Amino acid sequence: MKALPSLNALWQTNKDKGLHVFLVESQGGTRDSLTPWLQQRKITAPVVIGRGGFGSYAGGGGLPYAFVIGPDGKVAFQGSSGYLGEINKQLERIKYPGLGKLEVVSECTKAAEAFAKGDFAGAREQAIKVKEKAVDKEDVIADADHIINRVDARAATLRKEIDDAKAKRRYHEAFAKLEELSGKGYKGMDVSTAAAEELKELKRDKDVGKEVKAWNDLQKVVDGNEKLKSDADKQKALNKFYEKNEGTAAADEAKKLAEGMGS
Amino acid sequence: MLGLKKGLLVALIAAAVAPVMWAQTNMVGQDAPAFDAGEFVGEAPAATTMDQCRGDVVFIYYWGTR
Repeated sequence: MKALPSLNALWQTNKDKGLHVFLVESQGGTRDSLTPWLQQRKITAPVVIGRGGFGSYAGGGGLPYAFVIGPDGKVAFQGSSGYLGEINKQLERIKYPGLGKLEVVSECTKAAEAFAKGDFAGAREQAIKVKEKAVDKEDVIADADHIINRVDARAATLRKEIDDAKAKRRYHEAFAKLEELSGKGYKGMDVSTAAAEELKELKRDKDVGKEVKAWNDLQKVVDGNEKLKSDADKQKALNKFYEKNEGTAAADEAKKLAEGMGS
Repeated sequence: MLGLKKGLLVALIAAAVAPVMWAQTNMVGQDAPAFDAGEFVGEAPAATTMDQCRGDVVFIYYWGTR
């Protein structure tokens, strides 16, 4: 439990470099009980409830217990301590971070390298060219398709995150993702051009601006709360924010955070 | 009678140790078994199965709030 903030930071740093993290709560926590608990600790890494999906991974007698799987698909580590070193060691083996493939055929090396550098649009374009030339080479076509699909999946994930953030009126997050999708990594792709237009429109919208300001102000309250010792004072600050910003999504979030402290 | 007691003792020890032995099966070096993460507290990540994570590094961490 104490390790969670540092594991969360590890995930934040490496999630785009090929690290998947599953924090499996194993003491019967429910969504309702865990949501405020995780929010208070700013844990955003994926938390799984129950162990049903990991039945083949037999944990140790106590908690915590961990498994590290390498990019070659083999279990590289299991145990309760020493996993951080192994994660870093396995991450170093990844030649093309985020690509999901240890090696590619020589014809696709340039595309894979572009992908690794964050030039996803360039990687996609390169892979399409390779595919066009490699008419009968199945292995080349397979690797080129893998790169194209990986870029498309990455853009689709960003697009979904943007839509989810907008649906929740978390426009500060939508802005950041739209900037990423319209940025140089995806430049030239249709989704990127559309994202740039959308970002411009959203920035012109006064209601959106109000929501963004409220989220920024809430962050200041949350940061200020870290210096306060009593939960009562923290709740007071959050409730004051709620009253001032009522009607915004950030105010609803503040209310939830304040209620979570009381539970 | 002594043999029966000894047999019972062995059976009891075996029964006590069995779950621990199962729990500590060493999987290091073996192909990672398939998984499908299941239910998430917040939003599910894009990759939730072993097949989807293949080629990357996977970290599975069992923990509890208590």
